Amino acid sequence: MSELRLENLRKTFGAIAAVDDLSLRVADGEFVVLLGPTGAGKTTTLRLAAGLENPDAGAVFIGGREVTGLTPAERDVAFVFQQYSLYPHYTVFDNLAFPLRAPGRKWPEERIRSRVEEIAAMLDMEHKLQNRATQLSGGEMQRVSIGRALVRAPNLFLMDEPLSSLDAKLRESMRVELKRIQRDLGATILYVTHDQLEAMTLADRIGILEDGKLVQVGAPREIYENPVSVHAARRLGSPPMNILPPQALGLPDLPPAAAQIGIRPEDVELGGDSGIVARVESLEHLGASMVAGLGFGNERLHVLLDDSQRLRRGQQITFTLNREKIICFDSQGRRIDAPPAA
Amino acid sequence: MTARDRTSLAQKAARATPEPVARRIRGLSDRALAWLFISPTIILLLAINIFPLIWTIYLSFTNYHANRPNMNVRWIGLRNYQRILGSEDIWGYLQVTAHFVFWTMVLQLLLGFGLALLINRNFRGSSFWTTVILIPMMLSPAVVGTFWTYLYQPQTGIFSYIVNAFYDFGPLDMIGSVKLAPWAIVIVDTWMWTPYILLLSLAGLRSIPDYLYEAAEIDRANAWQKFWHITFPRVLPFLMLAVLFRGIENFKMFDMVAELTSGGPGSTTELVSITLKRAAFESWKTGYASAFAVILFVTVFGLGNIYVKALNRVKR
Ligand SMILES: Nc1ncnc2c1ncn2[C@@H]1O[C@H](COP(=O)(O)OP(=O)(O)OP(=O)(O)O)[C@@H](O)[C@H]1O
Ligand SMILES: [Mg+2]
Repeated sequence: MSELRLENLRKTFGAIAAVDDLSLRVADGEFVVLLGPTGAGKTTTLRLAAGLENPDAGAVFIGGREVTGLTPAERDVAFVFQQYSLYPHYTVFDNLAFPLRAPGRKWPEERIRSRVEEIAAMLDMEHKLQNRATQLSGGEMQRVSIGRALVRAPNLFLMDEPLSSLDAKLRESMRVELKRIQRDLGATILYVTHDQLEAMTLADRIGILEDGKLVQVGAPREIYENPVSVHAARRLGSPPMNILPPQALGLPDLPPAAAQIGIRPEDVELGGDSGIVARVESLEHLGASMVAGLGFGNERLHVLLDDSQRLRRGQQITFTLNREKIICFDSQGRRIDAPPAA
Repeated sequence: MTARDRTSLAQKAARATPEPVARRIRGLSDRALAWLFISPTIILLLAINIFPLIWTIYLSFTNYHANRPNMNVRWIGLRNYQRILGSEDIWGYLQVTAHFVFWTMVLQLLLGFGLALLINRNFRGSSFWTTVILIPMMLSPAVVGTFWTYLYQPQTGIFSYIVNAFYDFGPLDMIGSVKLAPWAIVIVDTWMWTPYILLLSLAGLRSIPDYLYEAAEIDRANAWQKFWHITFPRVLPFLMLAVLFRGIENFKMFDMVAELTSGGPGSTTELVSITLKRAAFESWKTGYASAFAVILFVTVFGLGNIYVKALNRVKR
């Protein structure tokens, strides 16, 4: 059992509340991703869980045992840092072996060797084992950092944007790899990122973090379809959800409190005789799909289309919104429930 | 920069210059212009550094005496070198110097690095104490030598008093005793220059990012491992640099020791620089002193080079 439970955690730095009354449970074997913009308190949350920082209030439980106030070593967690924190003057092998050589562990050197080689193979780093850490590229250093966390099977993995310095291709393969490793090991992982694609693909559940507060927790699909706020809505999906003032669309039957409405780019339909007239202002081709930027009145709207549609920049076109998919928000950006069925 | 850019730049520069000067400059190539600009530096360097060096090497093969300008100077080949290297006294002075350099370096490294580790904990008032500790380094070595003769007074000096507060040795004649004098100069130099090692160590310590220690903590490293695997290797290049600078300085140490003991008692604290100065400006054996200077120069230069190679290896 290695579930992680954070209860009402609070951490302030001077006047800033980096983490504000945060509660979260990561079940045994679950992969939870914290998603939030820069400065949202993602790193601080991980550091509180690891014991690198002491909370001003609240408690941390690992495997049902309260560990608030215990040192990182006593919590037996692995941490992948945002900056790759390797021992620069050691080889990749020694870096990977370091956690296994910690006092009290007393593994025979033979067993350490085979374990390190196993991990290196998993990370595709076998041929670099004798390189010094300073002779690696950023992506390789990052992989060694991840390897250093994986090499001993700890209670809990905490990962702070471990893929941020990799190129797109490597990032994708590491994503797949990481997910596979997590399934194989049944590892419990709390993972931080500001990349929504990483969050969507990796997470069993996503936690949306905003100014130190956890605004929504749920399965990726659930948050995608039912965001509780404008912030949460715009955090997932690319391009992000369109947020528009309702009066610009002339929609009747909206709840009176609706100050903004949200519609996903894929839920806008082009063409048809009735609908709002707009002008195509930009076109972005993404391979199989395409994003069109439409302008109407003072508003702009992104539409996701498949690439077969023939559009020209400057062209006049009509669009309609899929009424079932419209989400209404009040003036504070909070979700208003039950948009009226048409 | 292409060749065309360069010529046009030169032309622009020429146009902006007063007419008579411009006429002269326009005739010059870029290369000539470059030489024109660096020539003052080169001439100064030649006049102040290179020429005296070559002149010293020349004099070391002669029997020149600077106090007898009218004596005719004879070329005597390697005789000066033979006399120096064959002299037991000289080897004695080299030993005294080696003792001084070795022990000052060892003590200053231990104390300087140790204090740096303490100060790096950022306790309250740590910056104040850093400043206080740095004061000796800012004093003039000759002044330091002079006032330590007072501190070392066996009857009235505070040094003897403090040592006796811990253990009753009786009056300590640090400067007058053959046994203690070599340590007297080591102590003063250590007092004066430990701050220097401290400063460089602190620079090294402050350059280590916290997250390295945090990562080690997660990996369950203990305090000793953190020191041995992170702190020490990170600070080592700084320490080695400090030892290089201070080692060279102490090899040619003169002023502080000249004021403190003038090489005595006997020649127990006679460092090579003191011998050299005596040969050159008291016995006026200029040729002989030049040969000695060349030997010392080659020694320092050779050791320094070996050391820098080692330093570069550590840095990598
Ligand atoms: N040691 C510290 N001292 C003072 N303020 C801090 C400290 N650590 C974090 N903060 C502040 O706390 C807030 C949250 O920081 P945190 O590092 O958790 O953000 P983050 O979500 O990880 O951002 P990023 O995506 O940029 O890494 C920020 O406003 C930051 O300035
Ligand atoms: Mg962060």
